[in-house]
Amino acid sequence: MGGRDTDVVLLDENGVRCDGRRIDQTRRVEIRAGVLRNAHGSAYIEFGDNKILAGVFGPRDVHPKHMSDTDTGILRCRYHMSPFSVTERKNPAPSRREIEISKVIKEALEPSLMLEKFPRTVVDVFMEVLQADGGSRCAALSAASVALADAGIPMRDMVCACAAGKVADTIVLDVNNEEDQAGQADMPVGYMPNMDRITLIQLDGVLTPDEYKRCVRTAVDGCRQVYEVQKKALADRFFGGGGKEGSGDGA
Amino acid sequence: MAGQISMPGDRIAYIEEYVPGRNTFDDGDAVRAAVVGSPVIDREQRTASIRDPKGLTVPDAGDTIVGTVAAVMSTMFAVAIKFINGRPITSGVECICSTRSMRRNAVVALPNDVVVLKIASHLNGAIHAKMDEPELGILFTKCRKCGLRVITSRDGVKCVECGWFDERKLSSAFGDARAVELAGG
Repeated sequence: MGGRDTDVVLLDENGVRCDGRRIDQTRRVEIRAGVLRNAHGSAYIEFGDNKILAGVFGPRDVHPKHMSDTDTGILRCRYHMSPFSVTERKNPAPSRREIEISKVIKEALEPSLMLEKFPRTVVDVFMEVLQADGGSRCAALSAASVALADAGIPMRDMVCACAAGKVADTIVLDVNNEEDQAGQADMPVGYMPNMDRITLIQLDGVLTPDEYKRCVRTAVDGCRQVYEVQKKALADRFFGGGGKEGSGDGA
Repeated sequence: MAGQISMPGDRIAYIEEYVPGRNTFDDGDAVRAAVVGSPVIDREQRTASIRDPKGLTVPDAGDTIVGTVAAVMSTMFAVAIKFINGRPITSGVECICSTRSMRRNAVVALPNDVVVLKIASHLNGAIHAKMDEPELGILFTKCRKCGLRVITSRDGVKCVECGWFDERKLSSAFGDARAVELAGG
């Protein structure tokens, strides 16, 4: 898995990547919570050139009723790319890739949610990719987690996500579109920072065991950076940024 | 803790010192926040909880709800919740209220009646409500025979047109247009 041939210099001799970043640097991340009036919770994320909206409804009555679970609430996720999100018009019908990403995001969010408190109900998460630039599943997962927190749904922890990968035989943080296409490996990671648990890990490419460990560590470092942005977005939403952030022992 | 903000998963106390209160959980080591909000540490009751600025669309035990009767069965009726503590919701969540302890033959509620109830518990996957306090019960109903306006009469309602009398468990705020506000406290 050597990646696709390209004329772009993915990593120069000074360790600078094709978009000018260092190998341990994420793209610019900006999140705003509560951007949609009609959804119970919402968030908008700009992760580099990715632009994604996430909206949450629920807990609410399940329709169709036979899908409800008497022991716990259920989570439904829909990741969708707008026709104008990529350079060629994308068919708005759900593709194989979108169905797969919806599934992995659902499975990445489920460990963080306390759905057992709301039996017979459903929480719906809708993620709409307005502009895609590589790493949109990580950006969508981070936005969905903020939207769920904005909706007030009880959570064990936030889920933050960031990818790492292998480009020009080097482990780099937050793979962009060119690196995703032409690089050697791409590993999206979803992470619960307070619980120190990984909820999503995928790998496209081949890594040695040592590279794999370094790649996970690098991705988790990126997740922690995204978590700080998530916290700031929620603090701004609920307290206008005026509160004093961070946990306290209380005792 | 004043002025602090807790995010989901943030540690707010240790379980040796405090028990988890509203909007918190314990992970076997610490009491952690489950929602975004301000931590509230009650040093007398020894509880650590989170003051949630938003509130959920599912009622908790002790909440007062206003809703419409969706179905009436022999020993219970189901209510589609429209307001929680005076706050409108659109989630369509339902609760059930047992009428087993009510007097035999009494028509406690009819479909489409507006009722005010208090949430008793979440049990076996259902939300259980009660109506055994004076302010709880029917807020609005119609005549069972002709569907026209009724007025209170003794322990029930009487139709102003056909004179039909039915026993109902009426709220002390029956017929009051401000009932939803009153239910919100």
